[in-house]
Amino acid sequence: MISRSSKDKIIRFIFFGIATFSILIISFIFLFLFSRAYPAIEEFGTGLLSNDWSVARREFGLFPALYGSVFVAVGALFVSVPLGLGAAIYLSEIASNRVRMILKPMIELLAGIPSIVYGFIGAILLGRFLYDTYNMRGVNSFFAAMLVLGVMALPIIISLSDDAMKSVPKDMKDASLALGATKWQTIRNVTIPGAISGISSAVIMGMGRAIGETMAVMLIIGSVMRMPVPFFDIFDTGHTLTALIAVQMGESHGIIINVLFTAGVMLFTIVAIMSIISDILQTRTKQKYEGKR
Amino acid sequence: MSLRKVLALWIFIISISVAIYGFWNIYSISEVEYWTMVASLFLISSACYASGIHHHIISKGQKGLPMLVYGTLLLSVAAFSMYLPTPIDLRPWDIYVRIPNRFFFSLFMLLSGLFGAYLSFRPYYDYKKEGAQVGAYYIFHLTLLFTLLPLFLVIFNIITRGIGGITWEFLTKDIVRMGEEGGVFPAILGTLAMVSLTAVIVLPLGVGTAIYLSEYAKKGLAVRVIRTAVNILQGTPSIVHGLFGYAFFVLFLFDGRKCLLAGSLTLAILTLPIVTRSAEEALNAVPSELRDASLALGATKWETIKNVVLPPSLPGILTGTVLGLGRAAGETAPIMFTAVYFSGAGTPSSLFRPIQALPYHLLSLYRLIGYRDVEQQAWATALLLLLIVLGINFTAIIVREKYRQRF
Repeated sequence: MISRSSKDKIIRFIFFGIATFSILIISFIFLFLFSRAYPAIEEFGTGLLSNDWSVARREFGLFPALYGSVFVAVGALFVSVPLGLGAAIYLSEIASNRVRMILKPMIELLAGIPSIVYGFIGAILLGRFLYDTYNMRGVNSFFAAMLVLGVMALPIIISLSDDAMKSVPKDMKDASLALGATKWQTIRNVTIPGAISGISSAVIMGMGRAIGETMAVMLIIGSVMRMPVPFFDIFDTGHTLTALIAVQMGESHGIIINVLFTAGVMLFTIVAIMSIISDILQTRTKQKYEGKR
Repeated sequence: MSLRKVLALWIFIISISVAIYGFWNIYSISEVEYWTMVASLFLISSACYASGIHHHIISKGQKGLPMLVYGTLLLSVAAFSMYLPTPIDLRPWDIYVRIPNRFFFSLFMLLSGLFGAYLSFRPYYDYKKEGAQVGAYYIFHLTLLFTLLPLFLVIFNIITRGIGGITWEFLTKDIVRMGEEGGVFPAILGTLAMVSLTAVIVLPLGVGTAIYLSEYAKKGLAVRVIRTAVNILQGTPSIVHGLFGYAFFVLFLFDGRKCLLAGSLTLAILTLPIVTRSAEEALNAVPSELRDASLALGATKWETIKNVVLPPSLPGILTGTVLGLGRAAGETAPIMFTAVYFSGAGTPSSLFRPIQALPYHLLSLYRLIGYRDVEQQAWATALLLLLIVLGINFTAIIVREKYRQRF
């Protein structure tokens, strides 16, 4: 018969084992993606970062897709940051508890809409709408993708910056109000500066979401593997890393698969770095107000 | 009510009406006559002039100046837009768009209306700081409105366009003629089977991780690394999960065959961070006095967790899991290389056979639009998918709100 305390130690060890699973998965993802990507890296080297993509000439430069990913994500931020921050300020500082109880779930529902549905609506309705409004060359464009991704990044930006503003101690806000400042002056001069690192972490996470989004972008971006001309032309078509993988994976074989895995490694690395940065920013906010743990 | 307030109210009403009219014209891509726009801008600007002049006469101060400037600005915009070329053609600069005048006219109306309404709060509150506050609140309300607008547009359009395709045959038959006829029955079953299997896999892993993080070890290097790993996993793009599932489960474990189990395992990895986080939150909500009381009575740590901490946090854990599963049910990218076929897989019969699933069905139908007559079916599939996913989420949210005020 095992004693109760040693049984407790065993159970603790089991839970530790389960908890390390996430670390295991992360290393497995990197390992398996990299091992599949390696043949392409070995064969093409820095050619993978060039500007030319041609299956016939065996040139697999991923730069247009990389550029497209960043371009779309930055454009999406122009939609989601002003709207998201405004909504977050409203939710955390202005709305009464009852309004908040209704709005919070609605924003969660917004987050719950599947990305394929966004892509479908974006391609069919938004694409046609923009095509009619601006007389564009086709229904696909960076612009449509930026709008859709902007909406898709909203919920994460709202909920994270809401958390950040909630974590600013109430004492500080009360002190400002007691000095005769209005609620808006308090928000502007106390809450936002106090939550700024949390808010920037929210923006980074939103951008990460926009870079990593696949199905919606894939249906809207046009899937053309070249740079937009001129490079800031939001009405042109293009490609992103995610869409490239999703479109090409089904219809390719041989070395192209390895190239696509290289794209996956790039994507994973970029987004992982962004997660780590936003994580650091978040813990910094927490430490600032809750003392060092 | 003083004349100052009446004028301010007048500016507000006119501005909002003009903004709504402009928005409606953009939304419905309808023609706006040049003179309609001029008349609207003129209405706003005359109201602004009235308010600004009134304030100057009353107080002899400078505070009415913004109103006068804004009124002049509107008039000059109205005058100069007569010289806008029709249409504005950006093609000489390699940008392939021709933006017609009507778009700019509607846009001017929308923007000048929104800004005019913003200006009207200052005179209404007699140029005190409350006016600035109400103006700021007005902007926050606007951002919230534009945040929720897409939600309504998406749901409204999908319901009105998809409802016609939902028939008994659609719900109960397999695909016929590449989706032109028949229905999505195997796809519904496939999605449900895959999501239930995902739940079985992810629940012990996620809850176990959460218990370790919140009950056994609150600090230390190991905890920090685990937390970072969970965060990275949460941010990982779904297509990367798909690639990993293909490389590890399909190629490495299952000999290059797509199957239900591979899809569920991939989705389990995708939902693991969501389940972990919400479970941790639920566990943390249990007051530490309860734990201390149990430990003081001589119970071991595990007995405390099992009998004191877990039971009250169970609703929170389950709803968090369900929210994660709602996300999993709608995902396409992780399953397209690992588990699904468009047609021919039939109803799920074994863990090691491929399945059909609703999100992938929608993608395949979308790709056929233009070649085959499947648009109605695609809208119906989108509606069904939305109903399932939002239904799952909605139930979870309601249950969570109900159990939230426990402690």
